[in-house]
Amino acid sequence: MSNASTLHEEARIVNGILGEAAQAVRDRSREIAEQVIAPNAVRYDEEGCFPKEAIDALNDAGYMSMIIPKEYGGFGGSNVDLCSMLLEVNKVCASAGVIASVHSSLCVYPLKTFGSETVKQKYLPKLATCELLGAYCLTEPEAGSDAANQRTTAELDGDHYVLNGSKIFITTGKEAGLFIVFARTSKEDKPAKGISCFVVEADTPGLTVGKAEIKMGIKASSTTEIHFDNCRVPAENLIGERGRGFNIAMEILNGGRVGIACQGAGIHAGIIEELDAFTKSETRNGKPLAYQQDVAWTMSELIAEHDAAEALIFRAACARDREPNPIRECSTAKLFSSQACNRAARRAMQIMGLKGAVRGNRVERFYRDARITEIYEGTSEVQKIVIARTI
Amino acid sequence: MADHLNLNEEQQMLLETIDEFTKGEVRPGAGERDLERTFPEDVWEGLAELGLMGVAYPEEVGGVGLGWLTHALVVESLARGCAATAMTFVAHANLAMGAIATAGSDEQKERWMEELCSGETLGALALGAGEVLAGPAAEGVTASKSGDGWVLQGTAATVVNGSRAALLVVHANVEGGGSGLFVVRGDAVGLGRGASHHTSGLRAADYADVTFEGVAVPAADTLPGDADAIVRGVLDASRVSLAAIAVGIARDAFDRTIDYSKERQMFGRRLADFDGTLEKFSTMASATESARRLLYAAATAQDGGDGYASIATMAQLHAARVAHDVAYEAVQIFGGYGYCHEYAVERLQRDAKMVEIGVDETAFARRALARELAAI
Repeated sequence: MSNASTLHEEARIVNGILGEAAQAVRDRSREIAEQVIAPNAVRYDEEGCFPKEAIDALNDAGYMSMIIPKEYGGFGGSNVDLCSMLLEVNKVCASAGVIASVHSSLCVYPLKTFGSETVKQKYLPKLATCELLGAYCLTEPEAGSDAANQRTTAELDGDHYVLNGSKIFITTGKEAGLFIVFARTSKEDKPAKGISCFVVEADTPGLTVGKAEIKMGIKASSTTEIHFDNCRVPAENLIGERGRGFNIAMEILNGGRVGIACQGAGIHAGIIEELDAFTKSETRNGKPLAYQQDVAWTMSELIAEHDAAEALIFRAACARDREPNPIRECSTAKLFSSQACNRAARRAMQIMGLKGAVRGNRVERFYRDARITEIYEGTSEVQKIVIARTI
Repeated sequence: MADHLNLNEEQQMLLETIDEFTKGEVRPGAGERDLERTFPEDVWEGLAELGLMGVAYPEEVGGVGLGWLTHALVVESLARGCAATAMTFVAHANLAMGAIATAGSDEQKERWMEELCSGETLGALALGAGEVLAGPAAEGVTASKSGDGWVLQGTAATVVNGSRAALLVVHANVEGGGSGLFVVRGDAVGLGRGASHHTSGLRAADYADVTFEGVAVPAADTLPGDADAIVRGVLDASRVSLAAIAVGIARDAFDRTIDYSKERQMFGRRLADFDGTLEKFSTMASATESARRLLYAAATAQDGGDGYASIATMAQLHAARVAHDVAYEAVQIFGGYGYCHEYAVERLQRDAKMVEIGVDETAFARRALARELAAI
């Protein structure tokens, strides 16, 4: 494809006019979201249980393998396809949304991008069918935003690395079958230099799942500690070059951020849908609330910010389909989308009053779910550092 | 932060007592109560023992006679430990007691105020009539004449303390026009209670629908006067207390953030040592302090008597917004920990949101404020 036609195509996508394939993904995802996921979403939140029907349905459609190449049994889709799916899933259930995003962006992506052929053959087909669900272990008690401050160690012992240490806040920690894990392989180098990336199977002896957090929202997505106690991992499970782990971690997160941006914009779209229905059915002084001036103002701002978030997301997705690591596009999408969906949740609940503040209502759930989008996969403060560096 | 409130010795002693009580008795169980949605039973008994329910009310009706500023300071202190407990307190001490104290005859005050002041009886105000209703309400409550007395029929939606109150003041539409205030015992025949609503925040507070199916009220148990005006007055007074809850939440969130930021290390420094953190601190502190000062100004005006409705509304509007802003920023500074229940600030954000939606439930007050200020 020539540059001109690529740019023309990208301009259409940023304007929300998807190509045929991505539009088909979006339509089918919306059907799955409305028919399979939405009816269960309140229960997932209340029970804090794994959103099984949701992930099963996405898997049946092939969407859990969205960015896995066809030769490894995947869907072979683009980042635009992935975003099209994540936007629709998050519109009804942010827990299922983050599980799907982490699986593809934080586990599949590093394996297919940095993994050896052996590792790809070993794991991608199983990730493609969800026989293994993916997770990502970077954060530690002393290494949050300061991710280079890794304490987990990996020492080479014959043809194995021996992992020791503890990770926290691991999404899908309870259910994951495969973990991307970062650990320090050299104490001599500068903090960011001595880190390496591994892929570790959940049933490897020495790997245990620790305490699960009680969170404000995304309650159907488990968040746990993962402990490594003399956990022996085959040396061939090293992902990318030894000592390059920190750069790999950052590049993975950069892509993951677009997934979280989709979570924000999906939540945002769900809030608009809910608020629209509410303000048209509720009346004040004999007319629908929607026609009250201050309500219409709020609604308009919510729509403008939502549309801006989606445009930033598709800009980032196009950039990711074009080049390996587009920083500014990904971080701006994440920063804007996450902040916008929180504003939307706060204002929607304000208009709905107590009806939007009781459990079982989507606005109430999304108010709690939205809050995490400004925190994980790099807080808004981290995004601001990253974006400023691109100037 | 200096207080500049010129409190007398009695007020200061009382505040020290309540601060100590909040720290020792209210704060420790707040997270657990939020999770389990349990009423602060032990805390309530402790508060009753301290004799704080009637702080604002005159001694002749069983109160302490220290006025509304002191009351606001008590609410603020309680909210620094547990906003849901503070909300329970406000529903009892502002709403139920306020209606009886302002409208009741001497005989009625004598009959009911003492048990409410002592905390022996939990009170609630069930709003079931007129435009003071919070937006999309249930059908409301209607009072029909029956012999010398009245019969109540209908539903009052989302009454704070609704599922537990032993004494309810019911604002009901009167058949044939107007409205009235009726005092009903919790065990009255025909009085039913819905389950406590599963709310996003203030989860230990009890928001429940109360139903009335032919509840008989003797004439002696109706409060005299213009019921609409009385309820408006009570709600004006409660706005100062809602501002106090908001200020309490903001201060709690700020204090927790300072403590955390001094402990948390990243990039080889304390979180508190980053420019961005300091910028956030100064924004949070100035917002909180401005809300606090407006609260005290409103409470002082309340002690001065008439004409404080506008400043009460402004205090509520401003403080509620500030509480959410500050709690939200606290969660942000705590990062991943802030999203976890264990670190409390996510609860503060949810609680602040409940206080903020309380502003719109009295949207008519916002409009009244605007009209008064603009003289339109």
